[in-house]
Amino acid sequence: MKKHYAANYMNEKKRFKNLNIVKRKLFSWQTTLIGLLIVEFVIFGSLNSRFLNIINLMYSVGDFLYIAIAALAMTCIIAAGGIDISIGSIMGLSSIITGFFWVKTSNIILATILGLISGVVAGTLNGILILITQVNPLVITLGSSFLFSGLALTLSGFAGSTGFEGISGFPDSFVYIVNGSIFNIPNPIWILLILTIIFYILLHKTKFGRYLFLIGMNPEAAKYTGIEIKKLTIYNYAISGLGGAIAGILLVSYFTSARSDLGADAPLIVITCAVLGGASIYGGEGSIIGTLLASLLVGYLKYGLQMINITSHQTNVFLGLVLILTISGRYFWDVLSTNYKNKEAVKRFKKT
Amino acid sequence: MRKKFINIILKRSEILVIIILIIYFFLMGIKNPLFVRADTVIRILFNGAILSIISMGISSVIITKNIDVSVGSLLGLAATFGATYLNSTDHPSILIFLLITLGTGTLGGLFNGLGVAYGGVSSIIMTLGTMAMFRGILTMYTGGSWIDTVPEWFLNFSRIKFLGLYYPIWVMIISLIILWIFFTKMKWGRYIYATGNSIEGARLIGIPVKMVVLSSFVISGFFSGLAALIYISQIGTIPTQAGTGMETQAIASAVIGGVSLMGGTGNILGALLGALLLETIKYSLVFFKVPAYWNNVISGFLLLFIVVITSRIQIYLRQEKEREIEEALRR
Repeated sequence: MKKHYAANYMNEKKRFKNLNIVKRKLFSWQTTLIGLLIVEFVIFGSLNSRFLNIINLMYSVGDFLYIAIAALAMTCIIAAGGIDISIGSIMGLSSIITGFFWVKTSNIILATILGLISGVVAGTLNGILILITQVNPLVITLGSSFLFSGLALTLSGFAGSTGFEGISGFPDSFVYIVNGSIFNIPNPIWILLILTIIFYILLHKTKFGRYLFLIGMNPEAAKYTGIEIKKLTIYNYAISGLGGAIAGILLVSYFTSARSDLGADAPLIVITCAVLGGASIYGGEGSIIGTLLASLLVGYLKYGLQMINITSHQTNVFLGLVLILTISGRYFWDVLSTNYKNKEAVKRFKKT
Repeated sequence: MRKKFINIILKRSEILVIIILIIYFFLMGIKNPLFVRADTVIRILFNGAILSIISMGISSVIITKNIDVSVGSLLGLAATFGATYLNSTDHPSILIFLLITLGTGTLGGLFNGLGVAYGGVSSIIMTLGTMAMFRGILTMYTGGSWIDTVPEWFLNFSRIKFLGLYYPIWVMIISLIILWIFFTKMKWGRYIYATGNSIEGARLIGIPVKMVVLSSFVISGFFSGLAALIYISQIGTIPTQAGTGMETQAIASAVIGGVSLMGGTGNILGALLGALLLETIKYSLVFFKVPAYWNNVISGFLLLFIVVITSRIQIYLRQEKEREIEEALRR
């Protein structure tokens, strides 16, 4: 009799486990994002048949490539409980530095490397300041965003372009980075794919990534586990700076001109993408795949709204509303599902 | 004894800001004695009225451990609606004008508060979203054009002096007094501090925390509307990007003045002084004719510098306190 019970129990448990896996996969946030993406394609496709043109869809990745890349870097920062408002200014700074050294040395490889280094330096500065002040990263990166955008503007003046005028005249090989294609697939898709894989491995498959999550979840616990929080934080912000710099330089290649205000409007959309992708602003949660899906969602939303003749201001209203409603909806979904789970558990408990 | 005295000074961020202000004035005075005049102070107060009112309003949100980055856009929206009404009729009623401007601000704040307190959206996400939304609504409403005429009588509001000070400065002073009384003497003001200190603790002793958070956003929105009034009268034109970057400056000035982003500490006077410090820096850059594109570099650098100094002092104070407790325990 006893044995029978035990077998029954094991069966029940197995059944629940399988069910849970299916349920978890089905109701996971990433699946929801894919669903939203499909809904978006259906809606825009029915409003304007040109939207579903595969070549247009592929080439429009270039429009929001910089946002997606910055969002990938931002996911690492947010997962570790930080935030980087200065990522937009870093884009501007690195693009101007690339342009500046291109004008001065006519060596595009050197200029690009210096641009990337400037991003890393800026990010490291953020990290160091956050560590020595122990002030909320929001304030530090707000302050440094002033500093970086100011530096970019000043440098663009030195490079011979007054004010907000751009530096142009880049060589074809540089412009080709974003505007070219390999195997008939535009380069932006390749770049995004490669960077997503790199960031995925970094955040989800390495010790470094696990530690970032731990720091974000519980910094005290992280400290007592012997993790070198300071070193990791500086690395993290340096990576974010590098991400910003890559995004900035790709923007220069895309627009074929470097301007100090490139990426000035990026922080809002970048944070939107990371948070929509499942990163918790309180730290400890975040998903690279989710961020990629959210970037596609937001990017194609903008593209689709442009297709049906909606101005960018109206798009902003829409984007803000989508952000708020999604996050709020997710909150209520969590509350409801927790209630449901509790009720189920009580029911199961009463049965036995 | 002397150490204790220094500690007391260091503990009050507003005193620290005043000291920094005096040192700054002194240094600028060495460079050019003409800088240290009563006129300069009045100019700074006049220019700083908008920023200081916003930063006082935003402090109520920061004290509850939330953040509001939509204030700049809300200022622009309220100013646009108000100025459009002023231009729409020949004899605008001042009451309706006030209602529109302040009402826009309050409603915007209410929307933020509802999302944060009852919608489960974290404040930075909520206000980042509404920042884009308010700006978008503004541009849609005006169709991208600027409002460049404001009736003369309303422009005069900020040009006429009353008891030696311009009206905007009086608005700033009255806001300071009202908020000071609200935050130190009234029950609801203390609730805001309690909620910021520990939301769970505040809830357990029976404070309606959701209402408190909601009210703090409404206060912030209302003062954005009030700042919009001054904006219309002081600037006289309302571009579509009116108020951009205001939110970052307001948060920075509140933090410089000792309002902690961790919630529950800081006071209104500090936020006001922080705003005036930023305004002093800005004014001195104009006074010494520094090329405009250096502005952001210098203000960004000074901002970080001040944040580093104040935070190091706070860390020092914390260690000092721990040492004191240790000594007391040993005894």
